[in-house]
Amino acid sequence: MPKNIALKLARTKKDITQKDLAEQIGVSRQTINAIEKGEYNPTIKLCLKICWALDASLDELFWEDECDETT
Amino acid sequence: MKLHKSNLDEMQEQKLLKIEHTCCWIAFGGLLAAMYIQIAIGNGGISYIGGECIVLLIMSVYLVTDCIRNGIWDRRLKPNVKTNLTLSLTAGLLLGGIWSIISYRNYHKLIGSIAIFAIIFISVTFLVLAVLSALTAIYQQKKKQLDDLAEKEEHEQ
Repeated sequence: MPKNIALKLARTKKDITQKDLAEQIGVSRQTINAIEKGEYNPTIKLCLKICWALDASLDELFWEDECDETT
Repeated sequence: MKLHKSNLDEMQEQKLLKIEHTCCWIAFGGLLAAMYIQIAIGNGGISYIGGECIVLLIMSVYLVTDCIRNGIWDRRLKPNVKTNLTLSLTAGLLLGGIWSIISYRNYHKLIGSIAIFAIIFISVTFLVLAVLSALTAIYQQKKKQLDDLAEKEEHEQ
């Protein structure tokens, strides 16, 4: 799974740390870190919580082109 | 024959994990129940329950070490003194109660059974409290280590 650069950019744009985001949506810091590193594939529920917290859409944060799936 | 590709889709994989999870706790409870029954019918020696003890010990050690290694404590319980005290008192009461009943059934001495209860209750409570306190300290240390690592990676990315 590739790194989630879009998530990291959206988070830094809002000037919040992984810890702040984790606390805001009720998950551990390791989970946010793992999602950004592409090590964990979150459920749609968690994706939505992240989107709401960062005022972004699912497309903006989690969309991948089909070819990215294999990389 | 290809073995590396899973035959299950995402949902089936989640269902299988849930089934395996339930099965794990059935095995855990079953082993405890089997050991209790063996002890209750007077077959409490190592030759009778040694196998169950070893399997239970391996399961417990794996469960605890892997959870702590991943910075996980419990779904609902918090790793604090109050919880540790409640759990150790419960374990003490439970084991003290079981052994005092067994003692009374075997020897019909009320004072002896009460003494057995007191001894088992105190020793189990202190032992469980000590183990839980040590594990809580290790868990908190590991969690801090994981948080520090995540922070370091956050700045590196």
